[in-house]
Amino acid sequence: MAALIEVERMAKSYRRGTQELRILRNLDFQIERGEFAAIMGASGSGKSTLLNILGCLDRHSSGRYLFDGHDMSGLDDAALSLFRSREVGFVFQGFNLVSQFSVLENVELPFLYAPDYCTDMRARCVEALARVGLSARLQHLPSELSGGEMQRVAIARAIVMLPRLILADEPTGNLDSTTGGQILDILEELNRNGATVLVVTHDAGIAARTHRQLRLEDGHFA
Amino acid sequence: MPALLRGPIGNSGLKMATLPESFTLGLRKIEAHLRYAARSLWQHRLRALLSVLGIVCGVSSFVAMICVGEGAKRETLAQIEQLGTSNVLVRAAAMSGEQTVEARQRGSRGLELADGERLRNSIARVAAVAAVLEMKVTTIALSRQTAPQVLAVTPNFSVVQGLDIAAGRFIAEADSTNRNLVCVLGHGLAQSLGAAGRPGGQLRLQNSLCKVVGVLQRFERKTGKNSAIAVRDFDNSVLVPLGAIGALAGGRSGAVSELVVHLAAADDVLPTLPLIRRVLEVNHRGADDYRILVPQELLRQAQRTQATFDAVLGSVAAISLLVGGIGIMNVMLASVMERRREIGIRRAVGATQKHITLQFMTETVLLTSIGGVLGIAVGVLGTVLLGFATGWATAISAWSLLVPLFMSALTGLFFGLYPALQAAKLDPITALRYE
Repeated sequence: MAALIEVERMAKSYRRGTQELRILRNLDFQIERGEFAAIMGASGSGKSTLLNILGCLDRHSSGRYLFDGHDMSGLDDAALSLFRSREVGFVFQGFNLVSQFSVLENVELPFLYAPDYCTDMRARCVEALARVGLSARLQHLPSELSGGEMQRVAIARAIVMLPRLILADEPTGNLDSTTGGQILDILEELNRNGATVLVVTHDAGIAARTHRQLRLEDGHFA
Repeated sequence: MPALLRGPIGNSGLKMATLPESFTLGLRKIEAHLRYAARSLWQHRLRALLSVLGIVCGVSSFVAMICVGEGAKRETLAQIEQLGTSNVLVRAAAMSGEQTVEARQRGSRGLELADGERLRNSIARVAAVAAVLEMKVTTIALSRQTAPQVLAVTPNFSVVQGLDIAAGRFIAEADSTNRNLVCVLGHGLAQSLGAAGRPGGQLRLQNSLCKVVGVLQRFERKTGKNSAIAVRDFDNSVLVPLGAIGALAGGRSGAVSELVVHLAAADDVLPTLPLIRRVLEVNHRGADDYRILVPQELLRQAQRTQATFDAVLGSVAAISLLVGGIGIMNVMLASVMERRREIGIRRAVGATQKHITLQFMTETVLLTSIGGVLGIAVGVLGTVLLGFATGWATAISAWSLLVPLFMSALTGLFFGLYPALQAAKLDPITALRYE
C-alpha cells in the first residue's frame, strides 16, 4: 500500500510586488500511515506553510502532492473543503476556537459543513470531548477555560470527524510545559489508535517524543 | 485521562444517515445555522438595531403607502359604484341670468326630458334614461335638522340608480301618466316621520297631500371629503313622480335637473361618450348649459391622484431602503473584518466559500427581515394613527404587509451579497492569522 502522503518536488512561492518569495523549494518526502512525525525548523523556514499545504488550507505552486494516492493539485474549493472536512483535523497554536460558541458547539462545527449527515453527531461530539477529558465542560464558553483546556477542545474538534490525518501547528506553543506534555500525551494516544499525526514545532523536547523528525531549513529539508 | 483515548480513527467509523433521516438532519443543520446567525446579530444588538433603522423607515413608508392608497381606492370605488359605473350623468349647469338669456337666444331650452328621449332613441347602447328634477318645495314642518330634498323622478330611476325598496313599491309608470300624488320616502326620513312615514301614510308637499306608497332601503352615502361629485342623500329624500306636481314647483314643464343615462354595460361608457356629447350638442344648439359627469372618469382622476401619492411615498420608501441597505452593507463589511478569524476557523474545519457566503447572507437577510417586521409594526401603527387623525379610509390587507417584508428581505439579499462574497474570498491562512 502506498504511503498516506507522497510529496514530489513541491515548491511554494509568493509574489510580493516584483519580488518572488520562495517559501518551499523542491521538497520530496513521504509520510507513512500511522506515522507520528515532527516538522522542525526556525521560524520563517516554511514549516507552517508546508503543514497548511498538506492540510489543503493552502495550495502549492508546483510539484505533486498525493494523499492516499490521490493527486491534490488543481482541486477546486469545494473539493479541498471536503478534503479538510473528511480527512484532516487541524490543531493550532492559538487554539482557534469560536469565542461565542460553547465547547460543544465548537466541536459540532465540522458537522455543519459535512456534506452528508451523521446520525450520531451529538454523541460523537460528547465522545470526542470525553476522549480529551472535558466531559464536564460541554456548555462552557472558551473564555471560561484554561489554555490547556482550550487546546483539548481544539483537539476534540479536530478528531470529531475521525480524520486520518491530524496536523498540529505548534500545539504547545502557548502552554506551559506540564500542560504541553498532556497535549502531547493525547496526540500520542490518537496516533496509537491509528491516526497519522504531524506536529510542527521548534521545541526539540517535543520533537523527541515523535518517531521521526523532518528538519526544514530555508524551504528545504536539511 | 489517556484511558479515554480509545476507539479507531478513520472516517469509516461514522454512522451515516439514510435518506429520510438526512431530511430531518438537514433541517436541524439549517436550524443551527439560523441560530448561530441570530446569536451573532444579538452580540451586537445595538449596532444591528441602528443599522436596521433605514429599513424600518422604508418598510413603514411602503406599508403606509399601500394601506392608505388601498383605502382611498376602495372608498372611491364604492362612491363610483353608488353613482353607477355604467351611468353617464348629464346635469343642468348652474347659470347666471345673462348666460340663460344667451342660451335661449341660441335656441336651447335647457336640459329637459326630451334630451333623454333623444339620447335613448339615437344611441343603441343607451339602455335607459332616468330623469331627476330637484324641486324647491316646502314640506310640512319636520323635526329634522336638514330639510328633506324633494326629487321628481321617472319610474325607471330606482333601477338606474340602484335603489332598493324596503316597504311598499317604487313610483310606477301609471303614477307618472296619471299624475298621481304619491311619494316614496328615504329610509331615514320615513323613520323620523313615524306612522305617517309608512306606506299608506300621507305627507304634505306644498299645498297637496301626497300618499306614501313606498320606503327605500337604508342608503349609506359614500362621500369622501375630497370627492369630486356628491352622491345624493337618498336617505333624506322624498321621491315623487316627475310631472305629477310639477305645477306646484312652478317649473317649466319638461325641464329636469339631471339625466341619468344608463348604458348596457360599463365597458360601453367611454366608447359611447362622444355620441352622447354630439347628440346633446346638436339638441342644445351648442349652448353650454349642461355638464356631463362620468363616474368612470372620476375614477380615473382618483387613480391619477393616487398615482402621484404612490410615487411620492414610493420614492421615500425606495430611498430609505437604498440608504438602509447601504447602512446594512457597511455594518456587514465591518462584521466580516472583525470576524476574519472565525471565518478562517470555519474554513479550516471544512466550510466552502459557498458556506461562508451563505452564512453572511443569512445574517444580512435575517437582519433586514427583522427590520421589515419592525417596519411593518411602525407602518401599521402609523396608518392607524393617520386614519384616526385625518379621517382617511385605510385598508390593511395581507399583501400590504407581505410585499414590504419581501422587499426588505430582497434588500438584504442585494446589499448582503458584496460583504458575503468578501468574506468568502478571504484566504483562510490570512484569516486565521488575524487576531
